[in-house]
Amino acid sequence: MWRLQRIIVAAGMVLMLMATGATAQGAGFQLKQDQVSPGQARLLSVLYPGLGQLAAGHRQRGTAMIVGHTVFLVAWLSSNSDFGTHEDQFDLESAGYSSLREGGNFENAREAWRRVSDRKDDMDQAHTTRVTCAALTAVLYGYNLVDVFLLGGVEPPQDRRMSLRPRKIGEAPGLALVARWR
Amino acid sequence: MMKRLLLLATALALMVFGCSNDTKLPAKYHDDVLDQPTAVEALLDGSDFSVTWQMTSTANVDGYVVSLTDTSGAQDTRFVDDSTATTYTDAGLQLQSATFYIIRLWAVDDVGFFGPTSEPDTLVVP
Repeated sequence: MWRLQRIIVAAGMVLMLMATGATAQGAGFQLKQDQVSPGQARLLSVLYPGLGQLAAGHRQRGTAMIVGHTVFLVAWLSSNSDFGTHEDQFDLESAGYSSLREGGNFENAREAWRRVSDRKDDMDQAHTTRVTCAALTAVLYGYNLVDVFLLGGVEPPQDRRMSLRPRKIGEAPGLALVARWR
Repeated sequence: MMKRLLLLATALALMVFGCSNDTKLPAKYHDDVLDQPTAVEALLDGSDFSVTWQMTSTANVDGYVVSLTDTSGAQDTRFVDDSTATTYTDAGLQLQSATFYIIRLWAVDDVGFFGPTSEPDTLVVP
């Protein structure tokens, strides 16, 4: 389970790096200002929510989706792992309770039953948590799809009157404050 | 376009509802398998020790265990190999004089499961 979580988190980080548009070349950084096409942005968003929006220039929306989806995904995987732990404990206690039928006594069986019931409650609670996290993950992913396919979430953003744009200053990367008048 | 979205929505629904929790509690046997002896009364007449009890139901009962615990905590047990018995007598039981005993009783089934212990009765050996 933890191996799967590491793979998913690592894949998410790689995808986020792909979407930043900055690539290391030689000793310095070269700024890529090429806009991705809507089709490429949609593909990125299908792979991981928010990447397409970020690549298309919707920084706040893209960042919010990436952060939100990552939080929900990690919470889901963690609660899933938690459920597995409670399930193992439940199986153990359940087997202990059943074994007392053969040569045990009422007092021990009653105590074992209380532990089995507690483990079942823990397991049910963990199940509720993981289903909730999975639902939140799915809802955010679904909204991400609706955003990129139906709501124009990967269309280039409208130019603002003032904005920060990446600019090369000599050979070094930098930022420029751009103001527009109409 | 809509087909693709529907396909993805189906995959998401499977992801959410695929997390099933079909684990059930094991069968609760301990409350019902053996009844608890009640009205336990211990008597000492000279050197004759006897104990009587009542059972609401003798279902699954294979016998009874009579337990005598003295003030030091030492426990002596006797097995009654009769599911219908409501009395146990022992004329040769060596009880220490000037000692206080706690008498308890419980039923046993054929696999060796001990049922709930009765309320204790006390016995004072003069």
